[in-house]
Amino acid sequence: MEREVREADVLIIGGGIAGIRAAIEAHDNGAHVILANKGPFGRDGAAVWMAGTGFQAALYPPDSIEQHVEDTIKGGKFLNNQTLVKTFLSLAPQVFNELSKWGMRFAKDGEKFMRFPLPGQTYPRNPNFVRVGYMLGTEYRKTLPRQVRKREKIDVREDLFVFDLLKNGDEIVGAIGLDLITGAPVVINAKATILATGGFMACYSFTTASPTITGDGHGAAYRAGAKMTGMEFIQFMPTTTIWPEIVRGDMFPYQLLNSLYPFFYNRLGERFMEKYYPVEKDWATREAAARAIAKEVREGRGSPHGGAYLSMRHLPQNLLNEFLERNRDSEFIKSLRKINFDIREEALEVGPAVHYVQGGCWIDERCRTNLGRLYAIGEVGSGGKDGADRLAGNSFPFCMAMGYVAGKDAAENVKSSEMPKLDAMKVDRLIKKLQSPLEKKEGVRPQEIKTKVRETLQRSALFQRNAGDLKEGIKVIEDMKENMLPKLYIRAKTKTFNLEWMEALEAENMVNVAEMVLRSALMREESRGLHEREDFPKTDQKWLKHIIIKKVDNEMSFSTEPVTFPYVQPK
Amino acid sequence: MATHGNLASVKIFKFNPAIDKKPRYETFNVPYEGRTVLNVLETVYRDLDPELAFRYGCEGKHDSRCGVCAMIVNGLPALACRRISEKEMVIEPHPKFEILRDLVVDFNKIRKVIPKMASSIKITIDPERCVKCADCVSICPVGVYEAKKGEIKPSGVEFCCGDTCRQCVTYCQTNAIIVEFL
Repeated sequence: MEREVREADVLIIGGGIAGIRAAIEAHDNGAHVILANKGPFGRDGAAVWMAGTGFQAALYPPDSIEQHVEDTIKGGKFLNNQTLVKTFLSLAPQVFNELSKWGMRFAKDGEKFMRFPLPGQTYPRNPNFVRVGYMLGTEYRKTLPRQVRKREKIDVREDLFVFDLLKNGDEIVGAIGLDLITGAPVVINAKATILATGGFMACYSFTTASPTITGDGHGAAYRAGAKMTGMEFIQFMPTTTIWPEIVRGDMFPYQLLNSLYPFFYNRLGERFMEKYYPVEKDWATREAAARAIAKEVREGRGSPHGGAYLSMRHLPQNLLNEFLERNRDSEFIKSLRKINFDIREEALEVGPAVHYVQGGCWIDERCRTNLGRLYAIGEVGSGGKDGADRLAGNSFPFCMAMGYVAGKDAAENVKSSEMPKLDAMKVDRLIKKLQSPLEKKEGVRPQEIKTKVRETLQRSALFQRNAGDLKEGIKVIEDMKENMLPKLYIRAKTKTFNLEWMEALEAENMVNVAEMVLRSALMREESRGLHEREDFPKTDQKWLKHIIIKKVDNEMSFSTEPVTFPYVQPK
Repeated sequence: MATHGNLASVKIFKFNPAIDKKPRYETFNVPYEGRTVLNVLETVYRDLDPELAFRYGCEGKHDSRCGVCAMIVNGLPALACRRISEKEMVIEPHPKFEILRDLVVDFNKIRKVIPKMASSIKITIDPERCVKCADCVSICPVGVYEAKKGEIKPSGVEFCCGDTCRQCVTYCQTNAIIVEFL
């Protein structure tokens, strides 16, 4: 297959919130931009729907940027990279006003935007969509792609799976992808590359995210020698629906628990919440419920699909009927009705689903990684900005601010820059890697690798982590690296739109991600925020440091970097 | 894969414009009860035909619909992720857009010849409520709505994925849109 070769001033990998904002800024500062998307532009990734009900911005006194920064650092259990928090959240009001100017409609109370409270905020700080309570994702999908399309010079590439970065010396000189439509390799030579590939939630078995979010940027960055950090902090959505199948991954129970008091049961019919929370019982916080459910599953008392039963059977019929009538138009309730599932009689199965990740590339306040000409923004641009736990509603201001900062910086820097040369041998080697699973006649299919990664992380790297499980998990990953990845083979041989070929590329990234998560979790011997160690249950001051991962001589090597406190002192 | 229990008979449109002269249909038997069409397609791809091409994305969780899995199921457009499976099904690519392969279409290219579709949907826009913001035009994954001379019209109602989507109804800020099934 003939390879396609393109050039750009700025290559942006990933067209989510951060990538779009970067494309707009780079273009408006005179750069020729190629914006590469794994799927259809403006529809794929997480931004479509996960942009929930929050966008934090300190718009009016008595709230302030300083307060927003302090809340974020406290929420992050003082592990945040404070310089990044300050730099990016200072831009939150500015980027919020841009969204408003571009057509996103936020609820107003007279002249001022209404603000709603979310956990961890000193003052209510979340402007909300005009139809309060509805997901903001659609507003992003409506507004941001339009800003890109208006700028006709931005070259939007869809169905282009970028699978590796191109390196020459210590610099990133572009990237290589698979054009999913034609089956041809696409080589893009760029003066600057911005990684905006999102998270890696689909590396776990159970997630609220799309199955396409497999940490492709994390894998590519790691393999290219980028420093990575924060990989041990994985955020979950507490009581997500596991079963019935047609509503699997749906967050509805999160809202349901605001309206009704259910009972949780394990496989034995025990109301197990009483064991862990003798006072609050079934009505402890959702996060607490998530941990209790995880424990029951680990100890063999989980429901058939790996969670806990959520039952409303104890409530009187008229109360339940009133609830169902009120929620008649909810997509969730309608789906259940379509399969004749009676929520008054039968229990849902629910459990914690992976929702967001705090780990990614190590970056400075200009979003630059340790590799020349490479930026990382949004979820993959970690730098430790979220610390040990992200506040709800912080992802969007981060994505927008980082997109703005990186887009501007990249465009300014390429003005005086020559196009860096490609390393032709490396390109050829990567094309061989791309073709290999297609050309093999037998071997290990990607689905086997993906499933194994998901099961390993789900079992060992969520709650109640311990050295034993983590080491077991690492052994599984080592075995996969040695015995499965090299034999990667796909049965589907059609070149155009080959789903299995896409999965083969995802498989390697998922193995890289899993190794980073497991090893980081093993190294951090304390419990802090989202990282919970059964064998080290206390928060330890001496662990106020970032774990840094780097590929050295083809091995995953680790170091630490102390957290500094220029703005907020730890308690 | 379980071979006991009720199986659906699923006829799927297969066509590779690069090498096939004309499309053909292949039939598969897969578990279907309580499952969506997307669940069924995944089973076909996973266990029976790795060459099958179809799109998947947000999987229709929560309230939003990305729309990439829009296709025809038993003669009517639907989002596969929210369409409940039936015992007999014929699955074809969405009629409006150019076919790339099998069930995968190019949302940027409209077909030169669009097959005639029977529509089962009636869309009414309440003129008293519509503020002509054109959000429905932006949010519909298959371009049912059009803004013409300041008026919003559902000129492509035959492409509407109906109850499986309803993004226009969900997000219209003034509740101006009514989608009815005939």
